[in-house]
Amino acid sequence: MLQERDKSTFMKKINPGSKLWLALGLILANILFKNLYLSLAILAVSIIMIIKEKQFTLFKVVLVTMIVLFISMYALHGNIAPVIDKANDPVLFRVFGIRYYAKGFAFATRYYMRVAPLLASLFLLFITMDMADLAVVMCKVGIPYRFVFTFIDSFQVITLLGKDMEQIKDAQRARGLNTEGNLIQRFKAFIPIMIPVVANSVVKVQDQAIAMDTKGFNSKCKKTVYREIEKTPLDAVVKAVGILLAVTAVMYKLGVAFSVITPFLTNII
Amino acid sequence: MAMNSVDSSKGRLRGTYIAIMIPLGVAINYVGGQIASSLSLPIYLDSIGTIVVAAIMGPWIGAASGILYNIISSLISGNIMASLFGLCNLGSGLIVGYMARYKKFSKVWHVAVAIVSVSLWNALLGTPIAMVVYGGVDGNAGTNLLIAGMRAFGTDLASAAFVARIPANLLDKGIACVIAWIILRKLPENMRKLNGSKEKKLEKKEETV
Repeated sequence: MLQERDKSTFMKKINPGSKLWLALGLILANILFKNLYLSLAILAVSIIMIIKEKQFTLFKVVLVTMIVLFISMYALHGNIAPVIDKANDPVLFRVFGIRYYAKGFAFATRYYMRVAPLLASLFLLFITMDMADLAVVMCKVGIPYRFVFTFIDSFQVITLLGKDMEQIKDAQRARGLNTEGNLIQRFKAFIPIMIPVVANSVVKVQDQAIAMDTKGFNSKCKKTVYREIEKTPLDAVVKAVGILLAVTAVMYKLGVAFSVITPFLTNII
Repeated sequence: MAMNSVDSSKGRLRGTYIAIMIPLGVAINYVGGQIASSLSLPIYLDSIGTIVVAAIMGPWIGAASGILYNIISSLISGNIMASLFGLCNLGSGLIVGYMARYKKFSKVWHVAVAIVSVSLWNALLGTPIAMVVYGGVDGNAGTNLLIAGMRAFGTDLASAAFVARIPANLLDKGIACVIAWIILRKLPENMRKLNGSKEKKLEKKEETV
């Protein structure tokens, strides 16, 4: 029996295996090329695609992380980066008496551009990925079934435990637990929520172990899957782009490291 | 046969427990982080699962759970570079796991030793990783303020990043270890023996003495 899957959008149509190749290519290209324009392009295209794929509501959490990182890195490194020579470097501007330097911002850009484009692009690739499809792909390439089960089950348990946590939080609030207020009150609220979440989940482990055993988890026979993953020309193109990006980035880095080529693409110090 | 009399510390049932406990550790870490975030706490609290699993299942299963958590959370959030912090979680799992295996995670002072060891390991390893990934600072406001303050007094960035991480880690890992200790004490006997064979050997030795 084949299960019907939601493949209504462009990104959801792409095979998880091809997406993994593209993810690898983007990671290596972004980190090894150290090119500001490439990083900005990855960031911009990812955000456009996230909006087009109607995933912006979920992306808001990542966006907040990106903004917090931006403020932390530029506000701190602009003033305290180890590359700044406070005696000789010209001050770019002052905020509340704190001096900011161009070298500090360049240092912050180096690290921020290593993280931010990947935050957006990998979020897009993984949010549009069907985990059951990924499990099939992982099994087909020969990754042991137990490892695949553990990996994919983690995503499912996160969702289930998240729901448990919300229920327990509401129940504790109904009993008068204060989850707002000052820092100490919020710290005090953590334990009455966390202990029941952890204890409940650990207690259920025995039942789950028996259920899995009776369903043949430990059977020695070869495991089969009931999903068929179709490969389209688009998957081949995405995979090729990923491999090309990864190989080019590694070759470029090796060429620069062994002084075979000048770092003509790098413009982030 | 009652479940309490089943020896689940070895054989095929242990394999099933491992396949359940590793994802559970990952999920507890993730949910701990979410609760901390929803309560606007200035620490991460995302290593409770690693420590609980290490205490119940043993060091290497705990370590695997810790590494997998960092990989999965970095995939979910897109911050792939942050998966390097999995090495911190690996150490937390190993320290608590070995302490629990050798029955050194049962008294209050054992927990205190575990908290200090785990916190120091996390600060020691977290600093170079944060230097590589973020250049020393990250999104944690409390740690960043301490780093900025220490830099203002002339401390170099690496030292400031290390020292600033110690109080945050003591609180973070302290809560994680205490929760793991409480949970471990309340577990049924057969689940407490999942952390490896050394405990049994020790028990046998004690019996002979």
